[in-house]
Amino acid sequence: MSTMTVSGSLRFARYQLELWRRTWYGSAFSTFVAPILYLAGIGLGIGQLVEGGGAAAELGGISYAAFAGTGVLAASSMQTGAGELSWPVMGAISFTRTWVASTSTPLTPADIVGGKMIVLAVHLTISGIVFAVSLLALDLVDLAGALGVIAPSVLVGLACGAPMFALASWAREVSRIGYVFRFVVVPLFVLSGTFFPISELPSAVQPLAAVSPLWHGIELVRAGGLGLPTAYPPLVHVAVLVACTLGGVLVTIRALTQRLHP
Amino acid sequence: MVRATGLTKRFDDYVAVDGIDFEIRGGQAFGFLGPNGAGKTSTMRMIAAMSPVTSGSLEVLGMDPTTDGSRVRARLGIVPQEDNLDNELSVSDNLLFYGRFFGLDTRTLATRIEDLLRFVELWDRRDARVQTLSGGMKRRVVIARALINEPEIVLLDEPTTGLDPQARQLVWDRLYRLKQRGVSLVLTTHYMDEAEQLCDELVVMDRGRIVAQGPPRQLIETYVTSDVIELRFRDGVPADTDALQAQLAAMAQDVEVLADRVLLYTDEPSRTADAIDASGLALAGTLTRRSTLEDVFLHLAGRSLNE
Repeated sequence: MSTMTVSGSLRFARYQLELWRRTWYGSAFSTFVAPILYLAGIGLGIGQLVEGGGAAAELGGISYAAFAGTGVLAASSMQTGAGELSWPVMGAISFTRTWVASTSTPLTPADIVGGKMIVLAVHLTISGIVFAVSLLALDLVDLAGALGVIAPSVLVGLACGAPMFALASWAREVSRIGYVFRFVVVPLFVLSGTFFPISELPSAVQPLAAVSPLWHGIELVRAGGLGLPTAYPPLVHVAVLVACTLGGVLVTIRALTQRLHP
Repeated sequence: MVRATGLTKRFDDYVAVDGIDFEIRGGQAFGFLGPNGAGKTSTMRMIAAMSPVTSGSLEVLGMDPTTDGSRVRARLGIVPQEDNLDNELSVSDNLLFYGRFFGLDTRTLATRIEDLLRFVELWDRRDARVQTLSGGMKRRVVIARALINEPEIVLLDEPTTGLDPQARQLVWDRLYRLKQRGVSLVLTTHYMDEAEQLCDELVVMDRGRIVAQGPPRQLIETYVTSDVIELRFRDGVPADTDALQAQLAAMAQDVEVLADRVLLYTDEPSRTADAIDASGLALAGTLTRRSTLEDVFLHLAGRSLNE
């Protein structure tokens, strides 16, 4: 297992950010526009319908649009985290082999892991701010709420990205990542309380949602944005997300060292 | 500069490098020659501090590459087998970003990038995207990139594999100039002409072991005769190879029967040629040539380098 250094991670992060600066428009739609379309379509459209049925009481007195909007923010952070640290990682290891080149310098495989996590945090912060401003503009959160959603949304993105990073560093077949998106990421999106409280799920499925980092993230985003009470003390949710992040990072360092410096 | 004793690399049950010893001195061009799978690349990756040593000892620039990886790599230039450039970036940006990994500042890099791109004759293509370049040009970018940190040793893993003859010649010429500047070159190749042209010292590897070591000319003198006569038969090599071998043995010092031709190793080519003429063999043609490293390998390993 290689050693991570601050200077090495920052050098790699700088390189990745400069690459992104040159090609950011390619990912602008999925990062910024798609979540807002979701927000408008589901939050406002379905919200109109649902609210006719008196959902506000079920949702702790808040509008469905605000409930779903904060859920979509957390879910889109998950998508960003998992997306950035899946196929592009495999590409850099196996196809373009650019990370082999990067680690034929003083940088270590662990520095790449550190650098990628820094870059992901930057991206998540930017998209979190854009999303928070949209929530504010749609009057779904107040100013304190808009500020309160950013940090939890970054955390949930890191917590979902790091395990995907580990998988992408380890897997030799692209199809494995497809499976994880189809059978893990997409179900989490639907079942982690994004669009409805998990108490609405059949009781057999509820524990599954509770082990999902997305659900813990959504709890924190809603607490930060709407002042809703969390299922467990907030520190428990934070601890789960930090554990997912650190666990993912450690496994990734091991797997990536093995791949780049076998 | 590099010293290996009992150097071994194992991947699970597979032994890629099997306890080899060698020493590379400064200013030398040192080559690892051998067929695919001989263990050349594994050896190079261990020297490059990009693959931990399984057992034995390895010292690079006075350091242990397994524990001092970053510090070792900071003083090496690494040219891998594949062109792992950033295709989306320009030629000069590839060098710029790579140089920053060494902690070099932008001003120093600007000067070095110009010098290096002029050196590999790509200065006028500095703003071109890498993906628009030919294979030979990409190779030269990779070489320029490896020189950005002014390395003491440049490691080149099959530097000209896949290049056309002209592109190879240009790469060889640049490597030769680097050597003249006092940079140590360590390269792997399965081209005997590359090894003969560039290397002062060679190790011949086969199946993870070193089978011979020395300067190219000396290897040829030690292991094979000065000349080789190649025989091609009108109806292919006769099926009864034992009888053929017995017949030819008297004409030359050594006989090697290959699938498509027979090689006669001799220090007296004209006497051997006369004996062949007198033999009445049904030959399609003969070729007399100087012995090469290919013959050394054939002699030592019993098969050709490209098998």
